[in-house]
Amino acid sequence: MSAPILSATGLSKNFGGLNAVDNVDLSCALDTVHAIIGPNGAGKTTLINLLSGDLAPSSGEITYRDRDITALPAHRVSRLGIGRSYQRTHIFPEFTCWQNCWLAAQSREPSSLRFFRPANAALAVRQRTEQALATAGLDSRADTIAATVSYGEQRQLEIAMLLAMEPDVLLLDEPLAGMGPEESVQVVELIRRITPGYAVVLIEHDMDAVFAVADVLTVMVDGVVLESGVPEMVRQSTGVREAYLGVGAAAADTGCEL
Amino acid sequence: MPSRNVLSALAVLVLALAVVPMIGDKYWIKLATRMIVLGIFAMSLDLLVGYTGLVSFGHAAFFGLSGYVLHLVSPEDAAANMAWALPVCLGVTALAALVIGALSVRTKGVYFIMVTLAFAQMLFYFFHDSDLAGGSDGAYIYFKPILALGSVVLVDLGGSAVLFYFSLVSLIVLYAGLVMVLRAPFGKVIQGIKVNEHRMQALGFNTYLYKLVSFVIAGTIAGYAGFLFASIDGFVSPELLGWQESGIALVMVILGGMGTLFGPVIGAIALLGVEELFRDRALFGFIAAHWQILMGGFVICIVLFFANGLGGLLVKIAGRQSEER
Repeated sequence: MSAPILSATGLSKNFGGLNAVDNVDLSCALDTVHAIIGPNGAGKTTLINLLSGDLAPSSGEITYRDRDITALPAHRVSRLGIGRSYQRTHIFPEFTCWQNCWLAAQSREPSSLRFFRPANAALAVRQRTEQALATAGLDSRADTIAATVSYGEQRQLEIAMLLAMEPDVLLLDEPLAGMGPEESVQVVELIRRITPGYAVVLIEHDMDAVFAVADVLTVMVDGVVLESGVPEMVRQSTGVREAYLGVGAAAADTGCEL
Repeated sequence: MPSRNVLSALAVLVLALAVVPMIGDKYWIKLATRMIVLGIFAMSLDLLVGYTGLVSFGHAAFFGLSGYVLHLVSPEDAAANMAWALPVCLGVTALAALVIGALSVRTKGVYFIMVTLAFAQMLFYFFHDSDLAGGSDGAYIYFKPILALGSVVLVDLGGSAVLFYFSLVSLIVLYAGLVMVLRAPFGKVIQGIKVNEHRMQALGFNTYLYKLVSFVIAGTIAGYAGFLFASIDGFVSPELLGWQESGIALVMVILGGMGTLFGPVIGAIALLGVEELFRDRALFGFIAAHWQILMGGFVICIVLFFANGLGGLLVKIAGRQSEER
């Protein structure tokens, strides 16, 4: 595995008395998928929010390509090349799919304080937009209003927007949440296809999906990292088994077989 | 960009206005000029309300400030030359919009409404209570601005027809300019901010900067309208900056349909036109003295029955005609 391009050390976030994320170390390298699993409330989404700059950590450090980005606001983190998707669909519902992706592609331009030429005159931005839509398999939906495409397609659109931003780190927060089995298979395939060239951090509850794509697996419980390593090794860990069994019937019902 | 049918309808409206000076007396020319100038003012507010998602309740601050600056720079015994007076008015307004915007676009929703209102009231009381420009009595601009090159006067806004046509051309140019800006990357970004600001930040846009620039553009155009408005009667008073004036601009935007640019202009024309109608004693008898009651009913009816305002109605009718063809 190559050297990590995004790493966090001793990362913590307290909300009042609650340690949502507690002293977490994490690193992510190009061409790999680092999956994070754990029961609800384990602090996975908070961790993503810290990495993306949406939340400022209480303590700890985040480094991206040898640069300390701990204190940067979300839009600066995003511009550096760290893109994120959201657990709940977070798009521009009134715009077409094309316009959604165009905004993502435009965000990489040095400035959007451009007042004269029409937006779609910039060839490079247009190409990025079209390529991202094509990669995510949404070309046929380009001119459809985002609010009217299927839920699965909206999730694909989220990923297309990420790709249009040309980041090198993808933070995917439950990209399969709420999807039917067929749609899930498509998106897992999409993640697998795009991974080369990116460092992917993936939060996911769907264990089949996780084991299908993960190169590194981290298990979080109550804000702390319980286990981290190659998926096979984590699967055998007794601590993880206990933690998941301890969560009770909910985990068993959703088919979490470790 | 509105459809071809809507543009045709707008062209008819502009032509109908353009003949007013040919058939009407000075009273009607002034009324039509006020419609156009307040239309420019409302259109500038639509850039904030309808396209950036910023509901400003203090937009009159820039409208009135520009009028006061014109008063202050106009000599008492001669007309100010627009060649420098207009840039000064716009410059001061833009600067005020930059300062007020820098502090207020940090806030959202109802807080933004309150902060913009507070700043506008500060300016209102400044001109109301200070001796700088006549205090609560207001102040006169004895000679209306001219555009002169050396000793040759090219445009004299003292002529009511000249001021009317100058305003009408300004409206068309500003409308076209704003349509252009809204099609350009900047326009797409502010419209994205209106729909989902948080997502825009996640995409890497510094939304504060884009909202501020939008605020300054809107404030400066409001200043342009204020410059023309002060030239209509040659008089400025603190009421031009007051919250009622900001409120009327919001009513024009809502009446005409926000997020269309041309809608608020129609809103301004309708509001002044209907006021004129309701004040007519021959038509409404004793109620004409209480025309505000009728006006209230009119605004409520439009808002209730035409959610997208008069501009939305126009789009609907024009759209239906194109289907029939």
